[in-house]
Parts: sequence; structure tokens; C-alpha cells
Amino acid sequence: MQLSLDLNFGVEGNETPYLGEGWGAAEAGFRWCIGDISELALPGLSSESDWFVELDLHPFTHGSELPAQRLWLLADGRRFAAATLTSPALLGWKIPTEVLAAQGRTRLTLIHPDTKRPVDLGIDDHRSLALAIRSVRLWRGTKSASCGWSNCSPKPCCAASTLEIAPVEILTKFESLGDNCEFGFLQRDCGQETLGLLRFAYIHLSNLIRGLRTEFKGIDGPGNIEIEMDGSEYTIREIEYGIRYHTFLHVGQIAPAELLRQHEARIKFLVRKLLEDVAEANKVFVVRRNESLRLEEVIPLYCTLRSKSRNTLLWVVPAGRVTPPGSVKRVEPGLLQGFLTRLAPWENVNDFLLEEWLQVCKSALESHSRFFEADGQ
Amino acid sequence: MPSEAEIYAALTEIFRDLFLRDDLVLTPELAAKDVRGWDSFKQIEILMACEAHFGIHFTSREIDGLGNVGDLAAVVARKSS
Repeated sequence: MQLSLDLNFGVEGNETPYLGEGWGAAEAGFRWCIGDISELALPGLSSESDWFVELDLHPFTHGSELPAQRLWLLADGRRFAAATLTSPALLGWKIPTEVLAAQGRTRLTLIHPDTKRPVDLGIDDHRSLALAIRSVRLWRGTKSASCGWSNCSPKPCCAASTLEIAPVEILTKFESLGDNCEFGFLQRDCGQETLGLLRFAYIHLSNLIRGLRTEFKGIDGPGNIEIEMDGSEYTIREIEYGIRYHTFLHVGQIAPAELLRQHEARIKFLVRKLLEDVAEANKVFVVRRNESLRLEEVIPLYCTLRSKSRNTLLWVVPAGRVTPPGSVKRVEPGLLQGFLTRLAPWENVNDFLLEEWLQVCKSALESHSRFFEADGQ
Repeated sequence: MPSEAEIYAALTEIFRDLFLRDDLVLTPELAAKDVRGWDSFKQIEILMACEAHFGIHFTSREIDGLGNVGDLAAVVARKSS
């Protein structure tokens, strides 16, 4: 996966040569979509590659009067994606090959029908605003191919893996990318005490992506780590990327200054390890979130990981009618979707479904290994 | 290059400092399950102390492959040579 086009919007941006109709003036770090339609003229996209477009968006909303902005995306006049935005988001979509024109530049059209004039909401601004765009990125991927595993296909779901490996060995190959501690505790339950920056930590998905892209620049800066209290327990808050985790240490067990010193060093050590795991495609990375986690939210993380190496991302969600618990579906090369009856509830992360998780991990590991072999030939 | 005895002596000092236990005796088979308080947080402290003491950097694969003190001593020996 390669970053083919990286457009940053705003007064310091590089987007101007690509703009068509429907844009406001450049502002500090963004530019508004004005009216119902905004257009970008992108370079021609060859149908010999897979293409993903990523948008960093901030919708214009105003309480119950304007709770959301809808967005439809078209490539050369053919719709391929839709979203409803209630808050800022980093979203990505695969551009289907069939919507790309045979030659010439690709016209990307953003249709935003909920545009509104702030002045009509009592705000002194007469423009017709829809979405502020911070960036647009185009990622070029290798054309989808079979991973070589007979059980693995985008549809229907993969059958159960027959991999004969002990749970403790399977879970060595996986690394949680945060949110909560469910997967970390599951590893512990199986006797796997692998080290990971986000194993027992929360991080917002957009900050995780930024961290991976910048190699967590600034994370070791002075004053970047603070102690917070959860009752009598010390918790750690890393400021630059918003990483938070428990220390399981309480007042009186350690001096705050010593705790800070230890965790500054630990974070630095674990960032180094995570970046090395990403660079070497050592692990299957696990992303899950108790709130719904849609494909367009996962795509930017997937593109980031795949741009570093031949990584596999396992995106775990509640099972549906045609996606039985414990099964795995291959969405893209290196992007697997795993299905569980449910995720552990936020208030009790130890309440995980061990057998279903293990089945998902076995299938994912088999797919990762097969794909890695096929890809490496 | 430190000898095996020197590596074990240094590791013993590191472990005793971190676990605050002067009676801790390291054997190649000693693993996290055998020592109270040897969790993933403590493992990081052990590895950081080893890196500082021996002037080495563990790779992620080396870290993931550590199962007991013997594994740790072997990696230290290899990297210190």
C-alpha cells in the first residue's frame, strides 16, 4: 500500500490545484465545502490497482436544528460511498474499479445536501456550509488476490480453522490496538503476557492512526505524561495521543514522581516495540470498539498499517445473521473481519467470550500466515 | 563479552533490585509464574534495566520469545558478544 496523494487543506495546504467547484476560501488547516456539491480533480486512477480515498472531515452541525451532515461520494459521476456525520471523523472508502473512468483525471464529487447558512441559525456567517475538509489522501493498494487459504474468501465467511496450536501460542501473534483491556485480559487468561503499548490502554482511533503515521512523534516530550486518580488508584494520561491506562498502583504504594519516571520510560520502550512490530508485520493487530465500528472508520487504519509492511488487521465486531460467531471474513488483503456473539461490556472487560475469540484468532492467524506466504513469493 | 556467570550475577542484581528481594535466586528455568509480582509491567522494567546494564537493545521478536530467565540470559549473551 502506498500513499499516492496527500492533500492538506487550508492556508498552508497544497490542495488548490485539485479544486473544482464548491469550495470556500482556505482557512487555518481546513477549507469548507460550500453549497450542495464540491469537486476535486484527482490524478487518473489506474484500474490495475486498488484505490482507497480517505477524508478528514468536520461537519457543520448546530444542536437539534442541524444534528448531522450527510455525504455521498462519487467517482466520475458514479456513487460509491455514503456517510452521515455528527462529529469530526477520519473516514476511508475503497473506490470500486468499475466506477473509475478508463483514462484521464478522476473527478471526485462530494454531495452534501444538508448544507446550511449559519446566519439562518443565528450565527453571523452568510456562507452555505456543509463540511470542513482538513485532508484528502489517496492510497494505492495491490490488486486484491486470494490469500491461498481454501477456507478464506470474502463471501461467505471463512469456515472454522483447523490449526492445531495451543491458545498461548496463538495469542503471542496478536496485538491489541487499544480501546479497552478485553483482549489483554483474554491473553492473560490464556497465560500469554505479551508486552504491548495498547494492551491495557485506551486510545482514540484517529490518534492511533496519527501516532502510527508520525511514529508517535512527541510522545517522549517533557511533561507529556500526567498522573490522574481513579479513586485511590493512579492512572496514566499521555497527552499528545490521549493514551490512558490503569497502573493498578494506589496512593501510598509509590511516590508520584517515581511513577511518572517509570511510565515515561515504559511508554518509550513500548512505542519502540510497537513500531518494530508494525514495520516487520510481526503480529496480527486487533481493533475492536464497544460502540459500532464501521468499515469506513477502519480503512484509514488499515491503509496506514499496510503502508508500513504486510500487516494484517483483525477488525472484531458483533456477529450478524450471515456471519456466525467465531468466524472470520476476509475484507481486503490484510484486512479480516472477525465475528463474536458480543464484545465484553465496557464495565466488565473480563467478561469475554474465550472460545469464540480463540476461534476467530485461529482463523485470522491461518489467513495471515497463508497470505504472508502467498504475498512473499 | 561477559561470561555466563557474569550475566547471571548481573541479572540477579537487577531482579533483586526490582523485586526488592535479596533472597531471589535465578535459575534458567525461573519464569514469571514462579515469582510473585512478575507481570508484564515488571517484565518491561527487567528488560529496560538489562538494556541499560548491558548496553544492548532487544528486538520485538526477542522480547516475545522470552519464556524464562534462561532465554533472557541467552539473548543477553548473544547480543553482548
